Parts: sequence; structure tokens; C-alpha cells
Amino acid sequence: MFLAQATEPLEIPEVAWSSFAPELALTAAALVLLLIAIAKGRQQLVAVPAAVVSLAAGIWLVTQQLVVPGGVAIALGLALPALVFAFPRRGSLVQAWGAGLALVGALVLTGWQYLTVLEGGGTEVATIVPQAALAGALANDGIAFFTRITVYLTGLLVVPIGYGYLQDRRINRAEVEPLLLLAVVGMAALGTANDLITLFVALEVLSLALYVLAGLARRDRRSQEASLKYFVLGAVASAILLYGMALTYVASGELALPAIGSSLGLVTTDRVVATLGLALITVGLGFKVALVPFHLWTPDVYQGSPTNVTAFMAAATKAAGFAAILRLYLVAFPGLQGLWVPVLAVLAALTMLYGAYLALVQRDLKRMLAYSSITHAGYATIGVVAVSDAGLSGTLWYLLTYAVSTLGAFACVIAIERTRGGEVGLLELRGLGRTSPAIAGILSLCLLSLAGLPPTAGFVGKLVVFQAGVQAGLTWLVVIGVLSSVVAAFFYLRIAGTMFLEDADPALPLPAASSGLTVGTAVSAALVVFLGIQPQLFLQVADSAAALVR
Amino acid sequence: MKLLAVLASGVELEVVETTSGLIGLAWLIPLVPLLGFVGVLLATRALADRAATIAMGAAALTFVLSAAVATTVILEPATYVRAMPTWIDVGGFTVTFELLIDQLTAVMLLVVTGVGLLVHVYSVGYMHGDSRYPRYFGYLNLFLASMLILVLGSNLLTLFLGWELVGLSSYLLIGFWFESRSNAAAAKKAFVTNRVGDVSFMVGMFLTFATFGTLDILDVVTDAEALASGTAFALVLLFLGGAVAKSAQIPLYVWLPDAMAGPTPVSALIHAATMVTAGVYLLVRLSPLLVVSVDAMEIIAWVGALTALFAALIAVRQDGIKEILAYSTISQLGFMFLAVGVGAFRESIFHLVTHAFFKGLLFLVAGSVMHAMANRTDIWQMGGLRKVMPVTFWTAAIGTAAIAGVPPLAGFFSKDQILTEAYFHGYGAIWIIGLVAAVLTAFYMSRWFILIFLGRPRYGEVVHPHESPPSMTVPLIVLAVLSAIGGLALNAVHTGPLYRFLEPTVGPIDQLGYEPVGPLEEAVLIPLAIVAAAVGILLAYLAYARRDVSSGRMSEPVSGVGAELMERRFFVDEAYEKVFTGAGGRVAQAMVWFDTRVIDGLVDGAGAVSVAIGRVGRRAQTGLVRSYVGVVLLGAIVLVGVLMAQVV
Repeated sequence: MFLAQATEPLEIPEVAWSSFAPELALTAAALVLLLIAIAKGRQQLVAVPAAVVSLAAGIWLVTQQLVVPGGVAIALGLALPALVFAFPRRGSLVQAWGAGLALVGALVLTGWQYLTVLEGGGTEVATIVPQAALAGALANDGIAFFTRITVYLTGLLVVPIGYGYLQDRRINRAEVEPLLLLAVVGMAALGTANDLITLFVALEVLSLALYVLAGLARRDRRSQEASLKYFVLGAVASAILLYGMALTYVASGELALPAIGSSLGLVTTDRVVATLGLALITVGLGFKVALVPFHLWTPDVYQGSPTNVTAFMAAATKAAGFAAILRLYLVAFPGLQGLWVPVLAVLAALTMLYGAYLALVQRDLKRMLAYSSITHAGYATIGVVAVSDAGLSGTLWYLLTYAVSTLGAFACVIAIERTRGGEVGLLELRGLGRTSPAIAGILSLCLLSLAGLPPTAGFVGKLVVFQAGVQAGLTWLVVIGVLSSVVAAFFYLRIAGTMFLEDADPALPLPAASSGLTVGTAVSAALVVFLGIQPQLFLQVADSAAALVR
Repeated sequence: MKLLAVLASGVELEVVETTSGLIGLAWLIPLVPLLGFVGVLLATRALADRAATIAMGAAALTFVLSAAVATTVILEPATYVRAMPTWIDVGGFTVTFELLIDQLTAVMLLVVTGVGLLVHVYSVGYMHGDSRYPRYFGYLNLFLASMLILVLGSNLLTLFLGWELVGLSSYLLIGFWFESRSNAAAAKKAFVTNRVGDVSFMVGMFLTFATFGTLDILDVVTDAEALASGTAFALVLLFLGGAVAKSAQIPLYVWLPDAMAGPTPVSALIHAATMVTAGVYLLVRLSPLLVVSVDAMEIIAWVGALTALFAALIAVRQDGIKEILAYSTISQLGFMFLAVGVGAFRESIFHLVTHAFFKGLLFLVAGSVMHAMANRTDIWQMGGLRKVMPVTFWTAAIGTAAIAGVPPLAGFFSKDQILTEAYFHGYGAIWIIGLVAAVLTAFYMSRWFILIFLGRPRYGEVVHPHESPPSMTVPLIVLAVLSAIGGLALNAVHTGPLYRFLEPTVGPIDQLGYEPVGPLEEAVLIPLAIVAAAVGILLAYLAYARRDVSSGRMSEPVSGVGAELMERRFFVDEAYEKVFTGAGGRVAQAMVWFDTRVIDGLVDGAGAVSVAIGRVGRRAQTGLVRSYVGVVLLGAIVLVGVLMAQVV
């Protein structure tokens, strides 16, 4: 106490709440949803006070001229008791709608943030003026915005896609949506994290939530296995990553990424320690995004986890992981570019070929898509090693196109799984094009997008990334990418061919879509086509995203 | 707005950017069949009976539109650009959906929509009663839309969009009768072979963008002259890689014979008249780029010449009514590539047009025959159909004479002009190969014709052949008339109307310094070509019409190793199967083995840490966790080692 009196009063930095408004809203929503789940019969007891607080906060925000965040708070505050009132006995429906609305709110807030940092309202090409916040711990720049869009959109689509599936498997427990929201928060935070500590905390927030979600099906041994494998291996990777961060701190004496970047650029810095840190960080992040040879967990975990969780992991975790990779390598390690560019390029080449070849011999659909997701990590890496604005926006854009395609594909897998139970192999897909043309058609569309055929989103995604690679003089890597996409076309086509060019087994039950699944699948499919034919809207955002806090 | 783009050769290109008039409506050309496809697909249940009408209506409408646009170009020759919305615009990389309509486009539009419409009409009779009748017409419309996107795109990327979509619709149509497993396999083979070509095409596009900073075809061809010949060589070869896959040339021709698994009208439209000529179109489109690298052009010429000869040799000993036509198509496409390679760009397009007429006709004849023969395909079990199918017989006679090079039918003019150009441009060896291939063409097509229509019936009592309904015979007659007079009307002499029309769109060959092979004049060369056709027909006549062929395959006049090789198609398919599927499978198997065995085995040496962590996993009975950790650590050690080796 005496000591405290003797020191200067601590100067609390002004907290720029708006810089993480979307995450704030989602965290609050996750907590409230958790409380509602606990309250069981007396849900209104939680909902009404939460609504009052939210409304009050909203009104205060509006009086402060912050109309959009205020409006979001008011809308969410009004929606909550209404939901509880509308679905009194169906807790999981309240959860799902609540999570969905919160994610819509987060998307709105992201849009609002994006508009506030945009400059050049008059000119045609808007540019982002990157903002650092919280004493440099957060960066609201292109990577942050685009990652938010991708992960929030993914979350928003996963909620309806998974709803019916969770009920079928009787694993629709109350913690699903809050955990999902927390994972999303972690991912978005990973996209904004601008120092090592924030980055690590964000990574752990999302990882912990995913470990639990992977093991959601408590009575399913595969799900348990997936969860445990993911956890044990993830822990090892986190440890390695943390060690790498520590070494980087030792070498540079800095925690903030831009400061590390300028420090590592100096001749006086110890390059040996810094390189060791770089290597270990590469291992840790390579694990998260499943670059070969750190990919081994992916097939097992993807296959064992509940399919909606798999879809979420495949689409969103990859986006968040690459956001961290982009920021770390482009902001903190440009000084060591000569070291990591060749290493990552080789890893990307290995990843593309290895994933494509192994997918060829898979029989299980989820496992095949897992190897496909490994391949796609390789494509996304091309944009990173291009070390250019084009490469940066290319990777961000690629991850969005990959996310919607892979979500659509997994949603179709869910539709097939729902009535057929258990694992979906190639044999179960025979003749699906005849018995349920809609699902077979959408699945084929998403697979064609993953294979990179025009006019789908995946084609424009690959095109932009490859273009950036060629511009950066990485023609050999692009050629490998194109070659691997030919190999990949084999197995995507085999799935499509099995559905359309073979006869159905009449004994198999038809796939069934719930209303949520229908909406989610339709939106994903529509996005696959829209982003393929009119990519301009998001491409421009991605293009302007090349502005970083450095 | 009128602009003048000056080609490096000094030829001025009149570029007209417009959104008004008939050109302004050009965007409807691909859109109408696309809507037809969507309409047929969505309305299958309700409008199942109308599907053919919708699809045919769409094809007819797009034909009328194409004719109108083409007429505009004919009346006011210029390079029209129809502005369209942007597709991709990121970081200086801009691609629009703009349409490029010049003389070459006009020709292609007429061929594609004209043959397309005829095939739609023909299909009404041919596919009658098929269980997936509506879907078939939907796919046909999809193909038409894709092909028109390919032809109209003003940008290499939009061209590629159509390029991939024709591949997709071809895949769907080859595998249309998927009840037979081999049909599905054929569809896949076609698609994957084309993907191999796509690698080349895509890398070509990237290199183009890196070189020119744009993918706009007009910009590329106007800037081509300034290119270093090395870059041009690489670019041309990369696009050639895409073209040989799409147009079924050596070494990627293997998919086309298998593609005959599709319905016969599809073979006529896609695998004879239109899609397979896309490679030729691409090369002629880029001909101002081609002329920068004569070396690359010589390679194209050799690819074409060898394909023409090789496929003709195979065709001589095939027995399937469609297989012979398939190898014939490969061979004729080889002639077109040969023409491109020797600098005869317009001759190549001329042959493309006449080939669309007579080969489309011959395939439809084959369909008519199969229709009559309860889907039998072995020509040894036919014969004597002359009497029962008079219309089919006479149209087939015209088609056979046209492809064999009998004057004054269409094929005579186009093939002869290609060969004379090869001679005058100094490619003696290629000229001789072309002549030999022409003899073979006349021979195998006469054999095809004689065994089907002449002689005594060999089909037994089971089948009762009959003439096809009018919906099938009318397209036959139309195409027969075109095959008969098409050559004379379009381009009877070297500087005929078609050549003058196409002149502004192809690359200049004046400064390539071509010298004739020898002193022969055209007055000698033309009779030589006629003699070649006559020899082929005469040999076939002696071998199959004058001799008794009732013992089927045994009555082939020649046997031996060479004949056996031709019959077995030189074992190329088997070799490919061994090399690619075999090797590809082995690579995959090796990786699986690595994934399951090596990774597991490695662990033992992976150090104490992994073992300690591994025990945790083991207690939890999770199988391979220990190995996985081991590999991650091993990877980490290698990575650290590699990086540290560079700084320490």
C-alpha cells in the first residue's frame, strides 16, 4: 500500500473501444448466451437484464454520435428477450438465432469500422488508412478487416448449417454456440493482433474453443480421438511457437511487430537468435494452417470432428492462421526475407503436391476434403512468399473464396450424413445426381470451385494468387501449383463423376436438408458463383487491404 | 468510337468500339443458349416435353443473332469491340467481359451456331425416347453458350473461361449414357487430358501478362512484333500445349476416340465441327504472335503433319463406324495445325469451315446409320445400305467425296490450298507427308463408305434398316449441300473472298522469307492432289468393292505386323495407361506408404521429448499421436537446421 502511494498514479491509456467493437459485441453475446443456457427455465431472468444493459449502452452510444454501434447494441438488446419469448422451450433455437444475430451485428460493426478508416471518399479507389490501437497491440488495417469478413461470414454460415446436424446427433448442447462465438473472436483477434502477446493469446483463445468443439460428440470415439489429438499436437505446436516468440523478443527486445520489424532490419541485431525464433514460429504457425510436414493432425481431426465443426475449422481457422502469418512475416520479419521466402516456398510446393496426391487415394469424403484443405494452404502460401501488395491481397482473397467453397462442400456432406449416418464414402455418393440433383449439383459446384475451374470463386482465387506469384518471379512455384491443381482435379472430378455418372443404390436413404442447412448451403453456393462472376466488390476490398500498420 | 490499331507490320486495324446497333446486341449470342440451359434444367418436370423446343428455339435465336452480327461485319469490315462489365480488376490486372467481333469471329460464329442449330434439329429425331431427353438438350445449350463465349471473348481469360466450359459440357455429354462404365471413364479421360493442356495454357497466360501487362488479345497481337523471339517461342509453345489437348493432336489426342462414347450428334457438333477446332482458332487468333517465332511455327507444322499421318494410318484399320471418323477428325485437325505452322492461317480457317461441313455431315450420317441398325457400330456388319437409306447414302457419298478431296467439293479446295502453301513456303517434307496423308484419307473414307453402303448386306435378318425421319435427313441434306458447294463459293482460288475477308485478322507472313520448295507451279500441284485422292479411292475400290468382303475382318487385303500395329492403334493408349496411371498411382502409393509407415517408424529415433509426450498420447489410446509429434519435431529440426545453416 505504501509503495502504491509512493509511485506516480498509473497512466491508463485511453482504450479505443471502437477498434475491437465487433469482438466486444461477440464476447458479450457469448457470455449472455451461456448464462441463458444455464438459466434453463428462467431464461427471461437473464435475457431482460442483459437486454436492458444492452439497450442502455446502445442509447448512450447513439447520444455519443456513434449511431451504428449504438444501433447494433439496441437491435441485439431487443432481439434477445424476443427470441427467448418466441422459443420458450427450445433453448438451442434461441442459441442459434442469438449467435447468428450477434454475428450479423459483428459484420455490421466491421463494415462501420471499415468505412471510418477509409480515405478518399471522392476518388474511385478507396484506400485504407491503417490505425493502430491499444498502444499498438491492435492494428485495424487491411488484414484485420478482411479476416473479420471471412471469419464472421464463415461463422454466420456455420450456425444454420450445423443446427439440424447437431440435433440429429444429439450433441446440440448449450455451449456449442458460445464456444463458436469465442472461437470466432479469437480468430478475428488473431487478424488484428499486432504484438506477440496479443497474437499468442488470440491463438490460444481460438484453439481452446476448437479443442472442445472437436470433441463435442462425447459418445463418438472418433470425435474424442480428434479432440485429444488436436489438443496434444496443438499444445506441442503452441509451445514451439511460444519459444520462437521468446527468442524473437530476445533478439529484438521488442514485442510489437512493427518494432520487431525495424529492429531486425538493423545490422546490430543478433541474426542467429532471430533466425532461430523465425524457424520455431514457422513451425508453430505452419501447424495451425497445416503446411506439410506439420499437417499430420489434419485428416484425423477433420474426419473425427462433428462435420459442422470441421467445416468451421477448415474455412475459418485457415483464414485466421494466414492472417497471423501474413502479418508476422510481412511486418515483423521483412528483414529476414532472404531466409524465410525460400523456406516457405518449398513448404508451399510440398504442401500442394502432397495434399493433392494423398487426396487421390482417400475413400472417405471428409478425409478427402481434409487433404484438399492441406493443398489449399499451399496455394495461399504462394501469396505470402510473393512478398508484395498483390500477394497479400491475393492470399486474403484466396482464403475467402476457399472458405465459401469448402463450407458449401461440407454443408452437402452434412446433408448426406444426416440420413445415412456415420462416415460418407465415395460409394455412398453413387447416383446422387439422379436421386437428389440439388445437393449433388451444389456439391459438384463447390468441388469445381475448389479445383479452380471458371467461372467459380475458386478460379478467380487461384488466378489472383498465381498472378501475384508470377509477378514476384516465383514461376516455378506457380507451375507446381497449376500441376497440383490438375492432380486435384482428378479427385474432385471423381466425386462429381460418382454422383452424376453412376447408378444409385436404391437401398440408400436420400439426403435430407433442414431449413437451416438449405439456407446455409444455398448462400454458400450463391457466393461461389457470385464471387466467380462478379468478384469485384470483395476484390477491391482485398486490393485496398494491402495497407498495413508497419 | 473509331480507333486505329497499327499492327507492327504496318497493317492498320480499324477498331470500332460500339455498344449500339447489331454489334451492341452481341452479348445476347452466348446469353440466349445459357438461358436455354437454365430454363431446360429448372423446368425439367413441368416442361419435359418442351425441352427440345426451348433448346432448339434458343439455338435458332442465337443463330439469327450471329447471322445478323456476321452480316454487319461483312458489310462494314472492321474489328468491333463491344464493351461489357468488368470481371476482375485487382492491382493493375484488369479483365473485362468485352466481346471482340472481327472477321474471324464472324466466321466462327456462323459455323458454331449454324452446325449447332442443325445438330439440335437432328437430335430431336435421334434422341427421341431417351430417358434423359430434356437434360440432353440442356447440355447442348450449355455447350453452345460456352463455345460462343470462347469465340467472342476479347481477352485470353474470357477465352479460357469458354475453353473450360466447353470442356465441362463435353464431359457431361460424353458421359451422357453413363450406364456403361466405359462411357464414364471416357468422359473422365477427356476432361483430365484437357486439364493437362490447361496447365500449359494457364502458364502461357501468366507469361503473357508478365510480358505484355495485359491479357487483352488486341493489345497482345498489336504489341507482339516488339517481342524477343525467345519469349515469343516460349509463349507460342505454351499456347500450343493447350491447343494440342483441346484439338486432339499428338501427344494428347488419346481422349478423342474414346469421346465417341457420347451420343452421335454430340460427336458431330463437339468432337468434329466446333470444340475440337478451338485450338486452331486460338493459334490463328494469336497468329501475329506466332509469326514472331518461326521456330515455334515449324514445331506446330510438324505436330500437325505427324498427327495427320499417324491418325490416318490408324483410321485405315479401324472397324467402328465412329472410330474411323474420330481418327479422321484427328487427322484433319492435323492438317489445320500443319496449315497454321506453315503460315497458311487463312487456309487453316478455310479447312476448319469445310471440315465442319463434311465431318459434321459424316457424323450425322453415322448417327443415321446407327439409328437404322439398332446401334450397331461395326462396319463389317453393314453393307448394302444404299437401297434402304437413299438420302443417307447420297449425302454420305457427297461427304466422303468432299473429305477425300474430289473436285469440286469443299474438301478439295481447302486441303489442296494447304498443301500448295506448304510447298510454296518451303516445307518440302511436310508437303510430302501431307500428300501421303491425303492418299490415306481418300482410302480410309472410301473403305468406310464402301463397307457401309455398297456391296451385299452383311447384317443378317435381325436388323431391319430404314431411312431416318425428316428431322434427321433435313440436316443431312443441308450439310451435304454446304459440303458440295462450300469450297467453290467461299474460296475457289488462293485469293478468294474468304481470304480477303480474313486478311486483316491474321498475322503477316511477308517478312518471314518463305521460299518455294522447287520449281513446280500450281498447275502441277493441283493435279497432283487430285491424283492423290484418285489413288486412295481406287485402292479402296479394288480392296473392298471388287473383292469379296463377306468374311468380315478376315477379308482385309493386307495383313502383317504393320497392319496389326495400325489396328491396335500403335498401342499408344496402353502405353499412356502404363506410364501415367501407373506412375501416378505409384507416386500416390509411395506417399501413402510414407504417411503410414515411415512416419510411424521415424519416431523411434525422434528423441526423448517426443517419446515423453508420446506416452501421454499412448495412455489415451490415440494411436499415432506419438508419431505425429515425432514428425512435427523432425520437421522443426530440419527447418531450424536449414535456416541456421545460412546465418551461422
